[in-house]
Amino acid sequence: MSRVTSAAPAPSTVSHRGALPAAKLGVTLLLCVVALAVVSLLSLRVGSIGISNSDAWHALFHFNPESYEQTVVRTLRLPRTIIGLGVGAALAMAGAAMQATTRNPLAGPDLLGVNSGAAFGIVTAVYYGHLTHPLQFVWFAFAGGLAAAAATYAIGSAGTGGATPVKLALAGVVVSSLLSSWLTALLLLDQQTLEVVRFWLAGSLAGRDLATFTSVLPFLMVGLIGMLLMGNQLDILSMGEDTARSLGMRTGRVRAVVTALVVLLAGAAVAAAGPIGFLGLAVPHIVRLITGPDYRWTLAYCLVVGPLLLLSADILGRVVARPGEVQVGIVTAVLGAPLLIALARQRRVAEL
Amino acid sequence: MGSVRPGTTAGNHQGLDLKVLTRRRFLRALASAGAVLPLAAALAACGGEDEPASTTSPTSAATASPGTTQEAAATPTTAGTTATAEATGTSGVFPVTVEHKFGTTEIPEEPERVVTIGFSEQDPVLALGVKPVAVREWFGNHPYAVWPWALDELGDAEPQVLVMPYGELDFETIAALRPDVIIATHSGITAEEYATLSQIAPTVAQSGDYPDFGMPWQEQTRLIGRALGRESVAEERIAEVEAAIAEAASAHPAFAGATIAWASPSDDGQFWAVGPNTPPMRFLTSLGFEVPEDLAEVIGDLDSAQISHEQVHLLDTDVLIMQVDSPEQRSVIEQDPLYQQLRVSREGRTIFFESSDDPIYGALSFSTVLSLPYLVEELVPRLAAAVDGDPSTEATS
Repeated sequence: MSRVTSAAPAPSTVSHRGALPAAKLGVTLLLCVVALAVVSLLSLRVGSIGISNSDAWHALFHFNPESYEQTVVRTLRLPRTIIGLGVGAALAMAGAAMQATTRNPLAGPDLLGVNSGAAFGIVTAVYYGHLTHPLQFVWFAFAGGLAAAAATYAIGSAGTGGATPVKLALAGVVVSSLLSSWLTALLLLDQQTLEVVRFWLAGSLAGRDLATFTSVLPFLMVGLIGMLLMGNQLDILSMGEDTARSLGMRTGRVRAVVTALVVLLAGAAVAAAGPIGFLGLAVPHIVRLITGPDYRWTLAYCLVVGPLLLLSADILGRVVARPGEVQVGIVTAVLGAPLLIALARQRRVAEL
Repeated sequence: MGSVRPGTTAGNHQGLDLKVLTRRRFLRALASAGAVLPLAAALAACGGEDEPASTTSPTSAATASPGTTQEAAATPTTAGTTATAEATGTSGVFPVTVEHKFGTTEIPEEPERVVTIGFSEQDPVLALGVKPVAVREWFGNHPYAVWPWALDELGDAEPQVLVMPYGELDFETIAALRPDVIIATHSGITAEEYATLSQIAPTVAQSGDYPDFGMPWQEQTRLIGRALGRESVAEERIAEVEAAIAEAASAHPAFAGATIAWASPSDDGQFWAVGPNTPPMRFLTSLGFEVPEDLAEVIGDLDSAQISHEQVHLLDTDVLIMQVDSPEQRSVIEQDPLYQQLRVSREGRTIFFESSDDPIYGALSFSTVLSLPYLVEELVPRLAAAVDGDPSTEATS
């Protein structure tokens, strides 16, 4: 970590502020894990109907299908909690990796086209392939996300100077808006496609099929584990192209691997829950307030803080609009926007 | 499915652009293709008081799709298809004045060219023996925007169909129709829109005594009857329909005091439930049914409210009307472990409409002086099959 921060382009005094020594970082991470466990339990307990501790316990270990409360826990809250854990981790880590490789504090899977690509892949598959079930169209989320990321890099790398953060961000905006308008056009053209994807497009942890999640789970795990192993490379990459090269890194290859992992993570998340914005952007920034710019710690924290925040937002969405619920994607946006503004007003947000 | 909760459409940050845009547009496409969710359909844009027009209007939907009806109905109607004073003795009553939400409107002489811009007003106008020159499409894409129950009254008239989403009145087209009167009691127009319309022709807006789209059908028929100089015809028709409803109610004593709810699945497993102060629910309660207190409480004054999947027990009524978009969506609900625990499920008390093309669903959404007799014929037997709690009597066709 010391090597990284001393070589970082940002004034090291500022980067160091907030970063804790490794031992303390470990303890804090453990505290975050405990917090995540508590929030996961709350996610089983709290919602639009009251659930007692014993019902929650029985639903998990001695499920009685005759009990309305236990059925709520078992068939609704348990799946959304599990999906939230996976999706939260995936989006946060994908966002952190995107920010490192593009050296752009505003990067995230949604901003660089991966999310819109995944959404576009699904809608295209439903429109042309007449698929009807999420289990069939998850693969197109991966394909679409990969194609969008590739297009963003291709456009962003064109011209002199290679892929600068600004060019990549602009390319991402272009690709995203293009895909969004195509997607809208397809949906307007075809009522049936709309019917099939409407529920999925809402971006939510509720009403999701656990089978879809388990089918993307292997990819999610590959993405999570692979990304955790890339911490060192991301550290070096985030110092900039020239520095990384001078340290002997084959930057093109590393970027390709990281991008593939991001597509796995974001594609799996989008396939399982629909498009959820902001999390991938905001969590890495929050995490870096604790960890500083060390990506090995940042990624580990993202793995825990991502689901922590996503589940908290989901729980909030269940109780603020009773008897209805607010979709988690809307809660993350409402909470994430002011948070991001606050972060952006501090200098350290730009230091990756 | 106009979201009645402003919160659900909030958030326009870049990260959400895709979703927000798409949702907004597909809601329109949805309605345009006729697959309006029940609330949407039933409540004509869920006149939540301060809801901005664009996001909520199920009704609004109408234009996004290639307008087959528009083409079909594009033939200009010959002038003077409106009824004249023949045999109705209307010539003596004009000028008449009518009161509504935005004040008083004077109609100086018997109107010949009647344009209706409410989403269901073709029915009451036709019921009074007047053939409108133009009507507004709600959903269904029927020729002349007239559903089966009003075909006799339509006769050989060929009104132009106005395909205008909620909140997007095409004033130029309306003006070009040279209307003598504009009927807008089920349109949810704003004061500004009323002012503009009034410059084109005397305009009859909705009553101020009820929420927009919440006017009882009797009041609506009466108001239009007065505006067209046909109050006595209106009273006759109202009395006939009320008698038919009362007869159905007394023929089915099991309806009295039985609880009823009308819902449709929303995104992410939630449900929209229709509120008691809407024309369709008023019809059902006039048959003797009651909206359960806990459900009425959560809906409150809204014409519809979203309830979470976990609270599906609120829909565990003696009869549940469930509007879905497809047979697949129906089986998703029927296989839901939570729904299966409800008495409505176990005892076959749910009436499913599998498409918004179902004319009974259309008739319930309209709940007009013309569609209600159709409901008495078609829906009441199903209600009876549902309320008996015997799964062997099939409540759903």
